[in-house]
Amino acid sequence: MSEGRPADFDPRVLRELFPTAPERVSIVLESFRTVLPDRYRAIVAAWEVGGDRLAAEAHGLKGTCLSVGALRLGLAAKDLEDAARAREPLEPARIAFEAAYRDLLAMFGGDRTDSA
Amino acid sequence: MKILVVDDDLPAIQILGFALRDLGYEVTTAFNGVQALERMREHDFRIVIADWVMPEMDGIELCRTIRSRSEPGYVFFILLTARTDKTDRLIALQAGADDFLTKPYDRSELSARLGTAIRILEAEEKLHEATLRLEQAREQERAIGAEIQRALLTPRAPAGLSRLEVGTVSIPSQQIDGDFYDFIVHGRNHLDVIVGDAMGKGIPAALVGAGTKSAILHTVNALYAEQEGRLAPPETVLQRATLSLTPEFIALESFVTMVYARFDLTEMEVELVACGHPPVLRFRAETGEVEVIDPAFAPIGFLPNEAYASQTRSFQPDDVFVIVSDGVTEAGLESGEMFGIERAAEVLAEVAELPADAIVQSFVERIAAFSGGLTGRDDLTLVAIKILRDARPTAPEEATFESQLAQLAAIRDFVSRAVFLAGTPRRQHDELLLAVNEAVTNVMRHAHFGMTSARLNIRVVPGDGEVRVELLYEGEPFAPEEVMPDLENPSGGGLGLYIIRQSVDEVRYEGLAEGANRVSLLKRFGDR
Repeated sequence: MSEGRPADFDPRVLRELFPTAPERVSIVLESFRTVLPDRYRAIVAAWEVGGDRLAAEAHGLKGTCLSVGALRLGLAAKDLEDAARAREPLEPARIAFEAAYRDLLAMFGGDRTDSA
Repeated sequence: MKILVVDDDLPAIQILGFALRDLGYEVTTAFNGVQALERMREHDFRIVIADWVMPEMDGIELCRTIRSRSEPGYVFFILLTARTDKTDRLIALQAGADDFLTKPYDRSELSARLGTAIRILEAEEKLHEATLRLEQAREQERAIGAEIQRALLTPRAPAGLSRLEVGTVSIPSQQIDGDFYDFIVHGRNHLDVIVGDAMGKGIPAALVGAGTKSAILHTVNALYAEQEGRLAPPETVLQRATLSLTPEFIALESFVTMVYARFDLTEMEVELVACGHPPVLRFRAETGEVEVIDPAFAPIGFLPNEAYASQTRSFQPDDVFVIVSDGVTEAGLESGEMFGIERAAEVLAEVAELPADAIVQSFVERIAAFSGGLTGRDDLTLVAIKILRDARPTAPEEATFESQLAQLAAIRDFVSRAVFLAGTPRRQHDELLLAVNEAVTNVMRHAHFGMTSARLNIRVVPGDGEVRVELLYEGEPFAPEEVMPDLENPSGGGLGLYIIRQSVDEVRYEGLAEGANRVSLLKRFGDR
């Protein structure tokens, strides 16, 4: 992890929510790993449309990521949402978002929906 | 407590669901607004937590839909959002959201916000229960009020009048009637008819109406006493009553419309005044035409010095007068067309040949057909007075009492009413009642002395210009010739007999078969 950069994944977020039920952490993470590629593809699909639709997709992923502890991707999604909403150039935010997604996915063992 | 969680994001639903279950709530989930509404049709949820952005139906639309439902019980709606923009929050509040939750969730904040939700729901539940109890109490009060009005304040159409027949109907819009009517019978040949409408509806209007009736009756009596037994004309009665009523009505911010009509069967004419009330209808049998009489003055309660003036109409047998409240003329107003006085006049022309009761019933049927029912916005009252061709036969009134002094008051009440209805003027009524009182006392003290189960049968027989009271009893015959009046020594006996002879025109004591006796007291008064 680079200095000053948010963690790709912070396990404390879910553990603090369910301190006495580690099995719940596993259930939520499993769900997250399952839905993440679809949410990513929805953002890619909205990329050409841009504007409010892209902002809405990025907003949804941001909430999910921050809730489970995927902080870097969550913040990258927030930057993407802000840029799309403000109709600003998207490229810097997109590069950061793509990188965050790639790294998180690698940490989770790749896109399992792809292999399926 | 059951909570419905609505979010299209599975991890988000799981996180929130687990957290809520840990806090002791029962959780049901839905993935969008449409699904949430289906769940709400199946179960009763008082707390809904929904994400803002969802496919098919988002959180804002779901909230609006829930708020627009008519189902009882408040639903506390919490919107999940990361949006902190003031405009977004305003949109959510306008849609009916009660609170917001931001992802990621903080466990203690979630618990605190739900605690607030439950306090509000409990307060709402208490308010709802209190409102229900209040409504039940009001309904009970209305029912009692309606029963009191029916039993105590609704007069029966007067009987025993010569050549007059009266039909009445009064249908309240709210159980209790702001309309009122009353009759004051002055002997057999004079009848005052009062039909009024107190502003508003329900109990306040009924109380104003009852108060007005009371004031009118009090005024009639006071004027009668002041004018030594002469009846004051309707305009004078209203003038006097208005002086005392108007300041009260102004203070109460109320008023009363009224028709006061006096039917004089000696002169065959009616005097009437209308104070802000719909016109009076008069059917003339001779021509078959209906006259709309509108002697319009200000309602009672507007002007303390209104100069009322009666209008007089002569009448003939088979003429009919109909006095209505505005519930009749304004029936059907909701549908854009009123029944109106002209239509009422047409109805009267068609049904005037019927008896008075059937006339008012015909009006009710026509009004119901015109306005699609009788649950109108206003009370509806009709009084029909029909002039009869021939004097009606008046049957005797009869009652039996235990022959005990404790029954004297009940006997006096019975005789007073029957003698009064027989058309006896007040002075002759009072004198006859005095004679009856003495005669009954004599029977109880002498003929029934020492007897515990003796009974006394009393008949009041109306006649033409006279009335006879008969006391029928078994026991020792009362022999008046053996009792000499001694005015120098009243306690020596005979005074009662003297009073009886002075008070009536004829007194007879008869021994009938099998130990039965009859005392007849005849009082003549002629036509007034």
